[in-house]
Amino acid sequence: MNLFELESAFFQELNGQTNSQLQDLIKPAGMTANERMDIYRSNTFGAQHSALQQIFPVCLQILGDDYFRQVARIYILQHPSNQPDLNIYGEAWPRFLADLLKQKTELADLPYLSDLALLEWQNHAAYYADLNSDFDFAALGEMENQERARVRLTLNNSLSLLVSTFPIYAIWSAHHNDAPQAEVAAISRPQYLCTYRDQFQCPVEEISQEQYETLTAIADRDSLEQLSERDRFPYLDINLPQFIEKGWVTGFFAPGQ
Amino acid sequence: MPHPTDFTRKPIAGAGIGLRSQHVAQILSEQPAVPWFEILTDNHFATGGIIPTQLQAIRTSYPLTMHSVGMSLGSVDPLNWDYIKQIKQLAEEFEASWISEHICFTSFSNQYSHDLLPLPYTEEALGHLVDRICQVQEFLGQRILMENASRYVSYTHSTISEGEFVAAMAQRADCDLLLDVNNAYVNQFNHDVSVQQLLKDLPLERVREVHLAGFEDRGRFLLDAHNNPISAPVLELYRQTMALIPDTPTLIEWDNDIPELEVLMAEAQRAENAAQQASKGQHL
Repeated sequence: MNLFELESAFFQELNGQTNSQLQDLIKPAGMTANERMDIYRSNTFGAQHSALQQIFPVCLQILGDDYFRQVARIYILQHPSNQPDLNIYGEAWPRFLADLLKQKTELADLPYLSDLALLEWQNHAAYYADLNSDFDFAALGEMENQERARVRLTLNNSLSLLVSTFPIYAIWSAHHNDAPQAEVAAISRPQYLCTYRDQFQCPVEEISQEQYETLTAIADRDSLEQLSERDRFPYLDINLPQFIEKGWVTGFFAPGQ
Repeated sequence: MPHPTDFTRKPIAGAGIGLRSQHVAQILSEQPAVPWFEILTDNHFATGGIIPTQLQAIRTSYPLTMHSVGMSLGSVDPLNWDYIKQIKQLAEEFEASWISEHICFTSFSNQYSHDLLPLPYTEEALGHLVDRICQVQEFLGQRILMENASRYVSYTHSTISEGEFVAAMAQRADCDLLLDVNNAYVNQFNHDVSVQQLLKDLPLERVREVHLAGFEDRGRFLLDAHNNPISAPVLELYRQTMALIPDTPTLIEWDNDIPELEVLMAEAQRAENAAQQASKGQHL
């Protein structure tokens, strides 16, 4: 068995498929080859399970250790890690939970779970987002009006937006404060949230629908002129300076740059 | 970013501690007497926020080394240059004294195991590993330290011993070594091989760092769990090792069920005491 075949076979074993050719190459020395491979399967699962536990602590609290572990096992098999850095493992967990909610009747009381998981992922990812430069007011001020109108704004790398019809901010806050679980029921209007990195903290904030839609339009690279279209965002004059002050909008670029 | 001269110029010496996030605030506020820290590189790739800021603050008082688990140098996958570039950037930014990795593979077909998987000790694996170490060293502009990994599998088609494999790797790749004494002990138990023979086979003049950690006794095998104090037999093996390579910097690793910093400092003191006894020719 050459090195390529051995490594391929080893990963087959890690993924739960027996490879008898590899097992035949393993010295037993008091334990079967399968028992020895179990140690690696356990270590590999343990590392990824632990990463998911740390990234999604509220999901863990809600699901409980045993159920979380069962679900994590399915996730890990379906979503093998493709990066050496475990801090960025788990991006597909919210979508995975959304699919699971459709299949598992025992999760019927937790319809908010995938939205909550997405909030946890966004909050975690904010810690690892790349650094932004400061907003260059001078450069914007030096532009001609016509040129400035075509400018696109850029959002803070750490900023994420989320809309949910469940009170996930209250659930998230309650679990982070060890408070009893908040009353969970679908709310009459959507809840708009953003999470970002502010110096050393990564807060979650509830924002207005217009703020959410304005930030979404900025993310979609609408120009200043488009953002300023009449009646589109009535509070843009108030919101935009706030976005810059909070560090949510960190720069701009001219089309073609 | 601080100016490079803001960093301490103290050399790496004595018994350092693996830096873990749980202890960072205490280290910054109390400035404990720890000679140096080693970071797990993967936990420090963030370019903004609290992670690099805290590391900069620590680096002003303590010298750092970098320990990596994801280069996958034994893998048949292409080298992950994005990952290696991040390591280079981090090493330059914080002026790490050196970078270390493991003798193993951790990926295949772009799937990562997040565990150190054992290579066979064959000429094919040796040549492959040496070639990749050389590429990485050339890119980083420095020798790296390669660590003997703990293993739970030995292959029947290995043609040489672990010590012979490591020695040949070090000589051909012109790399340095990180000797993990706990791993050597765990492998001795798990595979009924001689740790004394390993020490004889290794080019000890290339060992620039020693690791110590606690294993977990699972009955039929020892798990390199990094979740316990250093066991008595590992400390005795360390003392014997330090008699051969006195003054080699030593690191306490503890990654699971992480205790208070004071516990790690006490472990570092145990290592210091054993190293001193070794230098005086005393047994524990």
